[in-house]
Amino acid sequence: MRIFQWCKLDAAVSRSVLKFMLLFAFICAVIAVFTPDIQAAWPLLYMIFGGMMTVSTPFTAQPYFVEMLPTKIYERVFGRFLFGTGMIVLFAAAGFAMQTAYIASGDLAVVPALTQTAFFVGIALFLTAVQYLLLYLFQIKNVQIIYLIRMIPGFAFFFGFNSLLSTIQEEMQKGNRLPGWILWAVEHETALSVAILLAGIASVLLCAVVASVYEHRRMV
Amino acid sequence: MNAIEVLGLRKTYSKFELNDISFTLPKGYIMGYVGQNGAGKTTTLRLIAHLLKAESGSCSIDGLTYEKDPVRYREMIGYVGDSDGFAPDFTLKNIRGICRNFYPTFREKQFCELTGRWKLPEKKKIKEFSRGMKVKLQFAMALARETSVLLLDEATNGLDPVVRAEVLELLQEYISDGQHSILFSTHIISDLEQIADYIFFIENGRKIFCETREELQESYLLVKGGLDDLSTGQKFLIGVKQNDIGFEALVKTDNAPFLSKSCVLEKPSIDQMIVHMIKEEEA
Repeated sequence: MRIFQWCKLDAAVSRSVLKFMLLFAFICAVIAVFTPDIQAAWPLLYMIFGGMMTVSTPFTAQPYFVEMLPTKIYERVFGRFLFGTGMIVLFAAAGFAMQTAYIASGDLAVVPALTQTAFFVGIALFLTAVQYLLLYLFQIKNVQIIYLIRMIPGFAFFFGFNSLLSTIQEEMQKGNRLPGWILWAVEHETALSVAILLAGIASVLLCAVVASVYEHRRMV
Repeated sequence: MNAIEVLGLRKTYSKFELNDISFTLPKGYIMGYVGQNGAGKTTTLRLIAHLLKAESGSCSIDGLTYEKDPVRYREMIGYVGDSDGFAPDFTLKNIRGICRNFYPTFREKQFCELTGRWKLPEKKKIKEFSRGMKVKLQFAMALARETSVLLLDEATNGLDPVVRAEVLELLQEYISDGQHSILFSTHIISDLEQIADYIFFIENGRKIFCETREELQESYLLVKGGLDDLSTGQKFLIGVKQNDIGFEALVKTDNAPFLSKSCVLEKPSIDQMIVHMIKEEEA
């Protein structure tokens, strides 16, 4: 089983981008410290966004000596999905740490950071799984289209949730009643977050299986 | 048993078609795979390595196909390509680690000996390597493990003459036990004249010939003559190059008696044969 070795190899191939992402984390921390009125979830969203920008790097930087390595196709595909999952979890962990520090430094009454992290990780895993599947299914060679597929899920995730959370905050400050589905989500917050996380993991496994079958048919 | 068996390989692109390529390479031999740029050499090698999937046809290494055992199939191939095949930020240490993880027969000591002998810097990133250094690194990776065949795609381009001679020597050493073989695509025909046992000539995706080097050099003669000599036996001439004074062409040895007696006949080099055959194809 070379799944872990493929995961490590994808990480090595993406090393330069990962180094750049350290700068991303630093910027995130600086913004969080100097902007007291941002959403408490902002550092978490921002870091997961960073992770989502990184995960598809191996699709664009695949040297042929890597392609020549002896392996079973499913090992390689699952290694790639494991790398993607690992990156999301890693960046989310960093975001969680920042969010916790941010909450602890202020006097903010927010939903527990861990539940929120599980929710956002689940969504990010789902988007990443779909993104990987698209990149496998369509075998896109055009770098611009690859960049588009790499960018859209991350931006949709970051700006979508940021906008949603801001709207909720504003509505609450105005004393307006929130829509029923939001109240329901808040009420079932823990169960919902766990369900979303499990769905995210399931989507990764499902997409990895589909991508493996497709790759096998394409190459054998 | 044959080291490589290729049967009816076909691959189509929008502006190019590799059509019905077949050959066998016995164990212990080197085949030179020659042709112009864009003739289909790299495509063939990538199809054999299964970096590309053929539309039809089959390839086997030591009787094993990729479909039967993809891991073993790839383990049996050492591939040295013409393009930059490494992640730019890798160092020798990274490459060593990857080879150790993926190739069960990787001999780290031999790899270090080769990279040391070729003065490949341990800590420099691959993106800072010259083209020659990258090729040497690929050779070190291929030679430091158990393989059955080496696929060399313009591999000696960019090497200085000293290292090229050393590599050619290593290649001859590689096949000396009669168990290994090399398929060698190159533009540097002088390399093939030194080491190739078979020559496969491809043009526009089609096989023109595949013969042993000796057969080939015995089958053809280089003919030179004045313009007056052209009138006799012109139909037997292959790839005629004409100037104001005379002509030069290739002729099949069997057809040489039909030419003018004043023509000069010489044993051609492989390079000369290829040039005339390309000219004939273009005509």
